[in-house]
Amino acid sequence: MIYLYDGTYFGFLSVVYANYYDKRGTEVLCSENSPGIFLDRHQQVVTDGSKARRVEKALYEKCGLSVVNIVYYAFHSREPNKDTWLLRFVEKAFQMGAAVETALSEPAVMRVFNLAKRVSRERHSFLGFVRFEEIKYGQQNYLYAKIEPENDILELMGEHFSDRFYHEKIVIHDIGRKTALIAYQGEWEIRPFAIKDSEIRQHHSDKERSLQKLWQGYFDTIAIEERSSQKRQKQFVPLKYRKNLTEFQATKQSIGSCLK
Amino acid sequence: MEQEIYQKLTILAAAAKYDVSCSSSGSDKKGVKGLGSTSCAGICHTWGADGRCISLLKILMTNHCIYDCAYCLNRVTNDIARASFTPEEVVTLTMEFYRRNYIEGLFLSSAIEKNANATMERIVQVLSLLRHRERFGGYIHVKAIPGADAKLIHEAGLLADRMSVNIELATEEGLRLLAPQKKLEKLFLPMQQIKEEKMQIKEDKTKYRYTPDFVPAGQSTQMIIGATTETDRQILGRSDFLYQNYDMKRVYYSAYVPINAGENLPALQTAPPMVREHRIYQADWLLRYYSFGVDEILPETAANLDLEIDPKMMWALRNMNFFPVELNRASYSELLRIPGIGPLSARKITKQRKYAAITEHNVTKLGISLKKARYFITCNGKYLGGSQVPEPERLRSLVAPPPAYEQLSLGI
Repeated sequence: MIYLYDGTYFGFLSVVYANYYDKRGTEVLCSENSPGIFLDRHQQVVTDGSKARRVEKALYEKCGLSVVNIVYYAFHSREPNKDTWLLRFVEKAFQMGAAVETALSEPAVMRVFNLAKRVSRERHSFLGFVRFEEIKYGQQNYLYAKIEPENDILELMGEHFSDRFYHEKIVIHDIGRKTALIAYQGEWEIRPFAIKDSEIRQHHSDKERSLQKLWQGYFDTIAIEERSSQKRQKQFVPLKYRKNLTEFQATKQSIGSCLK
Repeated sequence: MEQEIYQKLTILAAAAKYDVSCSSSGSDKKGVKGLGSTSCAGICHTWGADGRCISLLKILMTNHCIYDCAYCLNRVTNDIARASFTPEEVVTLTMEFYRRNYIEGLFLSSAIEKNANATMERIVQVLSLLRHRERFGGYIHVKAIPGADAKLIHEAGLLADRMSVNIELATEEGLRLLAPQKKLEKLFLPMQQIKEEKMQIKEDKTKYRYTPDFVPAGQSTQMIIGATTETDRQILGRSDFLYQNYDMKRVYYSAYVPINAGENLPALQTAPPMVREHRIYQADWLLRYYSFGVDEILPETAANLDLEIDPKMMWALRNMNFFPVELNRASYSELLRIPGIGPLSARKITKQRKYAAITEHNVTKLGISLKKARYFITCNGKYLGGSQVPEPERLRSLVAPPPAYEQLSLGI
């Protein structure tokens, strides 16, 4: 049986619920357009909040918080067949209880652990890599940041940013997924979002440009020349993340002007 | 105005860059409802061109200094650009950088412009502006200036997350040679005070509900590697002493970069001893996380660590009677002694053992690297490093890194 669902976390938990009674799930897909669909019978699972919450509660009671967290983090991975792996993992977890954490030699357990680890690592890097620009619209000041993470980590960062920037109106825009984390005064939400880069630049607040300059100046001076190591830097700040980091823009521009 | 701040920032950041510490860990503060929070694991925000993490805005209050420490860029006899921040300027920079998520907080140090008290007072002033007026909840690391009044250190401790005093040189002898105006016992005074006040607060917390935090992320210090003739044994011995007696969170090591010429200093062309620094860090980790003793890391016959092979492997080669260790039986602390297996792998092994035995086939699937470990373990009785355990000399050549490639010259 191939389960189809709407791609939300609660949708996935509803799949777990359906599978608990059927026990026939072979694959979980979130798109009806997948060509693999003719290989088996398929069933559309309707997302049901109350069922999903029951599954989550049962998982928590049977296996503990850390297993629930692992499922939640791994669910936000960009890996295409994560849902199927997760279903296998949850089946195993309901069988074994909290001991599932020790079953590292089970392929589904190891796989889901690794997915969760990758998501958690990327989230942690982005707690540092988000760069806000101050935007002025009328009388209001906003802090806007754009990011392009591999995994869908916006939701996982909500708590951190809404607490840290309590009095600021913040927007963290995931360009690839066209969604944004909006937060103000301890409340936050994820919503569809799109804005043009040029529009952001037009609405920079007065100090914005000079503060970016200050930061770039600080960034360039703080490195010790005698110890310079591009290799180490690349290891920690992969090139794919650099295009949205303020401190790497200055150097890129100067290289650009050298080439001209 | 803007130009002026830019210049000050670059001068005072360049003056602060030889301070290694940049960690933002050890303090966990949420729900401040102002600006800022701290996270226990610390958050790095970017990495500089030297591959060192940038987590805090690391600056000096001023680089006008009355001291003449031979190793220091800011010593009074150097002819360099000098500048001083006003407390307001530091506060504005910190807040504006923090709002843009460039940094995790502030690392504020200072040269001694007039005397210790005046310097510490200015640091406390910045702290108080940030915490009280701006309600800043981010991470703050400040220097405890040796010789400053105990009251000022106390005040700073109530507002900062971490404090540090750099001892810079491991021995009295080294200090006399390079920083004759500093005395070791004077450096220990603020460390002692911080440790005692921290203990007091810890005790109070068990009695009273509203006890303020005092330096919640603990204290750290730093030593220079390779400016004097100190041996690794002396350096590690000093670190061990600091960990045991002053409840130090971290001792940082910094390979000496020759910036000044002087008769007691290495020549200006000397490259910073980076590999030595790396080995000392490895040994430091063995002290803190692997429960090794200094005497185990460095036997009496050796003064310095091996540069080619890491200290844990060296210990293993000297103690082959301890090996091979059976993965399915060894205790956690025994697993930690195996070269190539750290706390993460050791924990994975103890977990997996509860579920099923570790076999030759699933051990690598757990994500445990056998590159070094294979020569020191058995798995269900089977030795994984070949037909028998090699002699230590043979083993040393097996685990030594391959020779690095180098550019050949024509020798003309």
